[in-house]
Amino acid sequence: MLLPRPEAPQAHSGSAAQPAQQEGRSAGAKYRILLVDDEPLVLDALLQALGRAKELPCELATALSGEEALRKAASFDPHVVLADFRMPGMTGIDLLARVQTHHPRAVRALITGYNDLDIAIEAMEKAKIHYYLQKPWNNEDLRNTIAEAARTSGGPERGA
Amino acid sequence: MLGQPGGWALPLTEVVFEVSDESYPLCQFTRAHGNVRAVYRVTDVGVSSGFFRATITLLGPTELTSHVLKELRALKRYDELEVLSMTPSVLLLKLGNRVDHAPGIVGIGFQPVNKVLEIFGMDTLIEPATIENGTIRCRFLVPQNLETRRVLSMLQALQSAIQWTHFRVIRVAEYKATRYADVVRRLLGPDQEDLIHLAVALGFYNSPKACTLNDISARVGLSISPVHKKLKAIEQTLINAYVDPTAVKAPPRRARRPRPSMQEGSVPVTGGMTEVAVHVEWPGFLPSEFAARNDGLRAVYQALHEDPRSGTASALYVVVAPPRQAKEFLDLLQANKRVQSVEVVSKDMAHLTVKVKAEMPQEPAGADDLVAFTRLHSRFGPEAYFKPVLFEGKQISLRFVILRRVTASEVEARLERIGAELGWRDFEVVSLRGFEGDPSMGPEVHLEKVTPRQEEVLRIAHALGYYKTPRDCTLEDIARTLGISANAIHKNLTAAEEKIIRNYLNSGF
Repeated sequence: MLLPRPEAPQAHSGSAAQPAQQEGRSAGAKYRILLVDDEPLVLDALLQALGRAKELPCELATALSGEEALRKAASFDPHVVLADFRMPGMTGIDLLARVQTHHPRAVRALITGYNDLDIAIEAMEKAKIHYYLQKPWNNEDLRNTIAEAARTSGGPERGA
Repeated sequence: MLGQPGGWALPLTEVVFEVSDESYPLCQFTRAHGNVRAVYRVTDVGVSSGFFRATITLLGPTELTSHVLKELRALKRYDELEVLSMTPSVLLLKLGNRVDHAPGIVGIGFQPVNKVLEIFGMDTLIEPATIENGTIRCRFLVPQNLETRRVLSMLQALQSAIQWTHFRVIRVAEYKATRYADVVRRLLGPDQEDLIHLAVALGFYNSPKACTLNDISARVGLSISPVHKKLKAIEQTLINAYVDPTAVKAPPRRARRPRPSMQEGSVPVTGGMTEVAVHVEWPGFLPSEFAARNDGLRAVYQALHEDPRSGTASALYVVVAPPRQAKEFLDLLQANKRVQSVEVVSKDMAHLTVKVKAEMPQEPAGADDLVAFTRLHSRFGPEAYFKPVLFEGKQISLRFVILRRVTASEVEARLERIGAELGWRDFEVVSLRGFEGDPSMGPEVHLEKVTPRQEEVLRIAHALGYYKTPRDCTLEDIARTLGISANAIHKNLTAAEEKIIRNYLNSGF
């Protein structure tokens, strides 16, 4: 099933069967996960993969750039931010470094298709990332990693 | 219940040694930072790919492991070096070199492994090495029965070729299957397991008891009498299995829901690794069908190498059977159309060991794929380390170690996928334990030893029918037989029962 294209930032329920769209924090005790990639198709794939994480009650939001992600994060208060490395304008590392400053409780994860060691080291040092994933990803590994990240973020009922 | 005593010797020689080399960054780093450990695992010896590849799992906080990463990069010795994944406590790296480039590498990297293969043979199975507090602990299995003296001279040759410092041989031994692949035998049904876990958790088997039958009854919503009967039945099953393991019948399978010992949070957070035991159901799979047809015959499967380039895989089968049955098994292997070679490694009146090389089929593999389990390594990924597979009747038991903490649902999801690829019908995760230490050994199971006196009283009681329903004798009958008081009999039996129940639960259930 293809979920709606994320042209505008949206929040999606973490149920693949009935992807009820909910804005902001209306979903109550759910983990809020912000996905950032400049490729709408990649975001679709991430949404599909994480939408099937049965064990993870979550609300998914998407952004197509670092700038948009920061705007979205201000109201969404994500538990987890998963960002692609290479994006026009702000890179994923720059974005996660700013997330660290403005949303220190958010767990930061970088995903990249470039197997460049320098990227990993820079991400660890500059953005103090918690998780690093490679593209192409395995859906099962992705779900497990994001579920683990969400659980370490302080619980779905965490306040702003 | 752990495997039968004695163990079956495989024609493998196990070699374990420790080495500490200050020139190797991981030694320096783990010595300086006691909370960082590493596991080094060879994933490709480069025979067909021309590339020598390995993974390094660094266990420790990111701020420390990122330093190791920088140091490895600064060495500029690797043709491939990349981060496969990173979590707050585990950094998984992949590194590789062209084989012709490898001899220039120092440390526990490529050169030592090349030398091990050169000296001990290309079939040698290099196990994951652990690096802790500056010391590298290496283990490998040579698929031959080698005399200790010969192994020691080979190790001397290895040492002089590599020139490690602080080289110490820890163990040279014949490989015992049961030591590394203890058969997890499930003795209780799902409801019984839930009940015994509850009773133990509430302290019913403590001395003195920390709860009453009434407390347990209240928790399970039953009256005292059925709870008492159920607990007695459990005790009898476990005692009977202890006294006479051959009389054990398989209990009903558990529906796919976590066992009490595997529920979320049950894996200790301090344990960086997880050991998993799985029972696989694969109707028609030739070796297990053969084992089932031949009245409980047992076999061990040791995965050897998978060679994607030639589309073949190899494995070692050890069949514990008399010569006639062993010959039938050999015929069965040779009749398989995918088998390219069958080499009899050794045989005696009770064992047959064969090395099988076979073509890998298109997936799903099907029940006639004799080397299916060799592909578990590549299917599960570099973080998993598989131990020998055991066939006992129709039951196939797998054991493996994952170099991080995992949940039961994560393991099940992976096994679902792998099962679909390989073709087995169903499986059950029977045990999941977190632990620290050597991944090639797995967690140590701390079993409480039944004392000789308790053992004697227990066996007499069993022989007199104390553990039958209804009982064939009373405590007084046993007391008269042994010439001691009924009270002493009761104390000995209670102590033995408690230990056997705890040991059953501690061995993974």
